[in-house]
Amino acid sequence: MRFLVVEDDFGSRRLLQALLREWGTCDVVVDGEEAIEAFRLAWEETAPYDVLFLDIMMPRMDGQTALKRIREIEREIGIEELDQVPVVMITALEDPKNVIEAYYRGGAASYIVKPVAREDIETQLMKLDLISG
Amino acid sequence: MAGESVLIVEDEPIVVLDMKSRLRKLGYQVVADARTGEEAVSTAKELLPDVVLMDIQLEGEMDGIDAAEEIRHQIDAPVIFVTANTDDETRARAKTSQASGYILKPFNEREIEVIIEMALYKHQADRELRRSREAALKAVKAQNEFVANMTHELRTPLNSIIGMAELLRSRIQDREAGEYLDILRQSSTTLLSIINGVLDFSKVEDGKMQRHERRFDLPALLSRVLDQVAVQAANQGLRLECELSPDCACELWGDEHKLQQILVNLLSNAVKFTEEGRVRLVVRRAPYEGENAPAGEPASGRSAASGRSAAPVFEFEVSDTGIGIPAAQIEEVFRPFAQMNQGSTRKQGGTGIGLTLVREMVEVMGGTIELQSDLGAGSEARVRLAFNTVADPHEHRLHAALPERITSLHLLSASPGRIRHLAEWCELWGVAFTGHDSKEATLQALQTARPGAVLCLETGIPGYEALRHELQCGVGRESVDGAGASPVLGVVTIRSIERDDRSRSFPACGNTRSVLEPLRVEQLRNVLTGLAAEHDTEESNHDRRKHDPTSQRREGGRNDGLSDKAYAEGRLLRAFLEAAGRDVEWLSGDRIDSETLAPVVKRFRAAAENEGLSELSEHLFRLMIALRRDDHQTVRRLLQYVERLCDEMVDD
Repeated sequence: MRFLVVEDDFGSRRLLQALLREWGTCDVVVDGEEAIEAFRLAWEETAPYDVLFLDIMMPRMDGQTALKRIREIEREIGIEELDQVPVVMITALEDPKNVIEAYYRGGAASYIVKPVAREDIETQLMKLDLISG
Repeated sequence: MAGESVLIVEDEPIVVLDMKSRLRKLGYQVVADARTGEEAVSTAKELLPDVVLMDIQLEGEMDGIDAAEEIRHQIDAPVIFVTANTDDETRARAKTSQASGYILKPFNEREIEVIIEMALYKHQADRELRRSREAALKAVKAQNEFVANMTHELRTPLNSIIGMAELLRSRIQDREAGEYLDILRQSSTTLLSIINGVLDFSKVEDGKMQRHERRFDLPALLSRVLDQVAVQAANQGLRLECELSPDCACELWGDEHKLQQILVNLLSNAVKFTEEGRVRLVVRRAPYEGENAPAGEPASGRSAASGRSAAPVFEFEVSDTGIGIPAAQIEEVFRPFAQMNQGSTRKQGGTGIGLTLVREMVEVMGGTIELQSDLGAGSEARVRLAFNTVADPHEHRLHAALPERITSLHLLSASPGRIRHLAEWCELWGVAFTGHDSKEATLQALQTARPGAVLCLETGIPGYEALRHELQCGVGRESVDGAGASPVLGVVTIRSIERDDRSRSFPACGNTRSVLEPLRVEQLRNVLTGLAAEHDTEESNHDRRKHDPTSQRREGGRNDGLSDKAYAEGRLLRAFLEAAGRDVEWLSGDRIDSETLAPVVKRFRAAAENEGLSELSEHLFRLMIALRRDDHQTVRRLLQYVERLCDEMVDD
């Protein structure tokens, strides 16, 4: 499986990387703008990501904006709604409003509250039918 | 009309009678009348009237204005002056006496009623205001106490987290696990300093911040301060520099803890708001000014007794090449909880109390702080604090001459500040010094050096790689006259991050040592002394050493414990930098040629991925993305990072 992790905090990034290694390979970028470019690149190379892990609070471009842009790009290149890449938002407890925004309007698949634990990721991947229980 | 009680103070019985009847008609209850000031005060205290009508001219010692003043201290009721006397002086005194009203005799009923009602109403409003202010202050106090208790509770478990992580760190051999522990330690230390900041802030709010003075060693304190920010700076690829002028290398008397907090706050702020370039701390004596002046005052224990004004003033300057602060917001940044931009895209986290605390602490210590900034070019904070020196600075251990073995120090550095700074120290140590910013000049200096020269190199600067290569090929191996031992006693590299298993050696020219950035005089001095001592031992054990693998390892030569992975990484890095055209001037932004660079980066990223070099792979991936986005700033930063990583790695 191919994951894209978008997270500006060094420690959280390393943690996600280490956890995700169990299920696949993982590219890492540090803000929303880089995420969009990485997403485009993956499509160009016809190796799109299976799941995006997107932090909400980030410099330059935040997670929700990046998510909206990614959905736009998907529409532009003619991807059906059902085939959209699943996006899991990563959030600190303090921003539930942002989560709801991403969840209902941005089309995020779900969210994980920091600190991220192995079980959280496993649960999400199972929910997305990417792994079996 | 609620029938408020009125006290009349009037020495004219006819007037008293008249007023009584009028007030009763209006529905007030006249509780008493007094004839003198003294009587007024005692009656007021006893009967607690709702309002006092006070004649100004009274019989006896105390006039109406004095009596009103006294009554206001004793009871909570408004006082209205009722008088025929209107000379300027009296009016002025009445004005400043905070009276609730002033009415001239003769008056009609309407007038007195309005004045009394207004005074009562206003007094009531004041009372409520005062009460809510008191309640608010009490709430703040309670909240501060809560925060203080809470932060204490938070600190206790956190301290054991930090302690345990530290214990564990020394037992961990595995590189990745070690890195995780470093992150753990770093994050918990950051958390601890945030908590300490909050604790200090609650003390400020409570007005409880005090000075705790004791004797401390300034260079040692600076070392601790720099340790706290070094990792963060290195992670961001920033150069961290510290210049300590020799007359500041001394022991002082003062609030060590606050000074440390001030400097850590200023430095971590500078690191936080700087994307590329450097953060520098300069410590020097402030020029004497004004009455703070006795120039030439002997800095000794005796001067401590000669009063605060005579204490020398030290200047701590923290400058960065960061985003800067708009001129209009300079004052703003000292306000608590202020941060320049808010919202979910804000780049820099933080509580927003750092600078508020800094200013408070500087004030408590009787010093000054100035902040200057150029938007987009960087900021500079300058703190001046007076400290008494407790010993003769010239006797400080940093001032002692170096062993004679060390004859000269040659520095290749990108930083002019570093060159100036070390020149000063070398002069003090009796060592010849040359500072260079090019490879050629450095080589030339080495070729004409006397035996005992030490070369000091900054990693990640232009010319480093080439110079390293030439040194490997034997430059500096032989002395000028072609006879005798190598002039180069040792090489000291200044590196950004500790990498135990990857230190790089220069077998051709003596011993290699590395010091961590920021370069501290103390560190450099120790390393130089160590080099000289080792050389002496070496001379006597020359043959034995040749066959002793442990001494080789200690000197940072190829190391048995070095993983294949680290080798692979070093090889790949070097090959990448070569393929990418390292010596072409890619670091000046406009010269980045995305089209040629992109395929190279892509190729090496795949290679790094194949070899399982995740850290390198991550950087190269971000480099690919940045190149596609034409984000030259990020490209430059990542290239610099990779370059420095390479310079700090092992040889093939």
